[in-house]
This record gives sequence, structure tokens and C-alpha cells, in this order.
Amino acid sequence: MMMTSSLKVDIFDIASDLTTRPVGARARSVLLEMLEDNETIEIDFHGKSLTPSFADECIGQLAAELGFEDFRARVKMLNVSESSRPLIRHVVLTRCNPL
Amino acid sequence: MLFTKPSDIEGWLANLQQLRSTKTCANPSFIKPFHLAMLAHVLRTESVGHLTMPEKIGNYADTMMLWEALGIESPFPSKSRLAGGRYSPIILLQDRSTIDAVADKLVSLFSPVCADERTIDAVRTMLRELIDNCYSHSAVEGSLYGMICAQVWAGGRKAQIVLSDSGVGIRASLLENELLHARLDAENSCTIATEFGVTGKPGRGHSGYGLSVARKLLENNNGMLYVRSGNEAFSLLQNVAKSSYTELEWDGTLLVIEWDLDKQVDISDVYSTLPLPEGLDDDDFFA
Repeated sequence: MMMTSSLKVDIFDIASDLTTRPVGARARSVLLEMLEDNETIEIDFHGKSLTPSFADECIGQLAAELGFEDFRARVKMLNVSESSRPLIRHVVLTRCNPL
Repeated sequence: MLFTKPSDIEGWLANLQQLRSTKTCANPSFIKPFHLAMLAHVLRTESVGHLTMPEKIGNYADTMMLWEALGIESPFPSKSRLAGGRYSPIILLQDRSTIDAVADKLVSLFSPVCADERTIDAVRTMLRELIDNCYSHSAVEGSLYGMICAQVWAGGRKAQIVLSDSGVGIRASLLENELLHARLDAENSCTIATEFGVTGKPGRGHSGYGLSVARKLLENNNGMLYVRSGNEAFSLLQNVAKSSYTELEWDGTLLVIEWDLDKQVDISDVYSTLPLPEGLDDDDFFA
């Protein structure tokens, strides 16, 4: 079935904080469910800093489950803080292609 | 003001060993948060019901809420417990959902004496990660996972943060990872734990960021990091790293972080040094 919809997601609607692995894992599960019904999602981080553990659990492992090309095509991240950008790059690339 | 030296912490550990055996010990000459956090950690394991100390340091200990951390009544009147803006009294880590609030409280000490937002963000993020590690790695299910406290010396341009957890310790935690057994036979577990990617739980989502990020930040700050677990320790003092062993044991894990308030840091500089795999270099997922 072809999907064309795009969904905007406020990260704080699916995560109570951007700190812990358990919260990151739950947020990843919700994002995967959203991706079953929508072609693309845009996640708004409101410029807040993520911890490495949250970034790895939520975004890194989401990328690993989707695969790098699918993740890049279907997941966009808005308002990611400047300090968190190299962290997200690291967790996505590392999870998609382990060292 | 000089940085706390690893030998200062080791010396206090020896005093606490004496306290355990004789129920009394010498006072530190210049009391800092690490003295109180370590004292609280030891006394909680001893289930102490009564504690006295000289008034001069007792007032400070009361301000840092030592007796509350022990669950016993303070001998000092409540009027003396005015923490002001320089101290973050001992906070017991019992509820994982409060990590951000605890980190914010500690970082609020920095704001009046450190105007650089990137530095504040770096310290806050590091603390959130380290406190979360306390819950993730302590392997102790129960009401108390650890404790944390801090102090800023505005005139001395230093800040100290102390985090003590009640877990199984670094060596026991890393031994869960069979791939590390050979290294652990030959090397200091506290030093290994400060390397990127080292974790006792590699197949369970963990990646070992906490101590490696803290170490790199403290390297960039030219500050001090002390990691103690069991009879092993790692120390970083103004970019001189050392591994050490002593006969004295420490239950759980102790982190002492001392920060140079005049040296700015950016956590993105640390993230940028993390290794990346070859072949995937596209990052256009940022809108």
C-alpha cells in the first residue's frame, strides 16, 4: 500500500525527558508505530539537548531498525540543538554501521 | 585555589577506614563536598544512628544536609541550614524520573559564576548522563541508588560535583561483558571504564558513553576527574591521567569532578571526536 502522509511529532508528546534509555526506548516504539501509518515523520526537539544514552536508544536504534537509507528518507529532525547534532550523527552512523 | 588531588581523596578514604574500625577519625583540614559524600556513603552502610563532629565543620555538614542523608536528626538548629547559592546539599537518588530536576538544581550553581551557555549545557548533559548511569548500572534494585552533591567556589573559580552510587562496582559490572575479561585480568577497571564504547551490557542497548564523555570534557576543561571503585581508581588531574590500586576498598562507585570555571567547554567538541564508521557520512536528516 502506498503512503504519502507526513506527520509532525513533538518529542515531548512521546518522551517525558530526553535523558534515560527506558524513555528513549518507549519513544522509539511510538515512532515506529507512527512510521507504519505515515510515509515520513518530522520530530521536533525544541532545541533541547539529548543525552548520549537517550539519543542512542531513541534515534540510533530507530535508524538501525529502519536501515540507514530508509531512516534518511523517512525521518527528519527539527530544532536539534547545535551541541546534539554531532551526537545524533554519531549514534545514527554507528548503529547503522557498527564500528 | 588548587584542584583537589587524588591523594586528598585517598587520604580521606583511609580516615574513613579508621572511622569504621574505631568509630572516630581526624577531621579534614579543608572540608569539601567529597568528604561529606564519602562520609555519608560509608555511614549509611554502617546504619549509624548518631554522629557528632566539631562545630566548625559540623555547620558546613549541616548545610550540606549530611544528617538528613543519613536519616537521623541533625544536632544543629534549622536556622543554620541556609545553603545559599554556593552549595547543592546531598541529594539521595531514589527516583529516576527526577534526573533532569536534579541536574538542573546542580547546574543552577554554575549559572551565576559561569556565563557561557555552552559550558552550562555541557555540564548539564554530562550530569544527566552520569546520574542516569547510576540508575542503569548500579544493579541494585531498591530505594537508594546513590547520592550527589556539589559546591562552587566563586573566588577560587572551581566547582566540585560528587556522585556516589550504591551498586556492584565497575569491575563487577564490566565482567558481565565477556569480551572485556582479558583486559580486566591485566588492567585497571576504572581506567577501562573511561574509554568510549566500554560497557558491561553491550547486547542490551548500552554503549558506555557516561564516563568517556565526562573524561573528555574534563580533559578539555583541564580539570579533575576521580573514579573510584573497589580497590581501583582512575584519576585525571589537569590532563595527567593515572591508574592506581590501594588496599582500601570502596563499595560501589565514587566520582569526583572538579571544574575550572574559567575554562569554557563545548560538548559538541567531545561528540565530534567519537569514532565514526567508514562509508556512511550523510547527515541530511536534519531539517
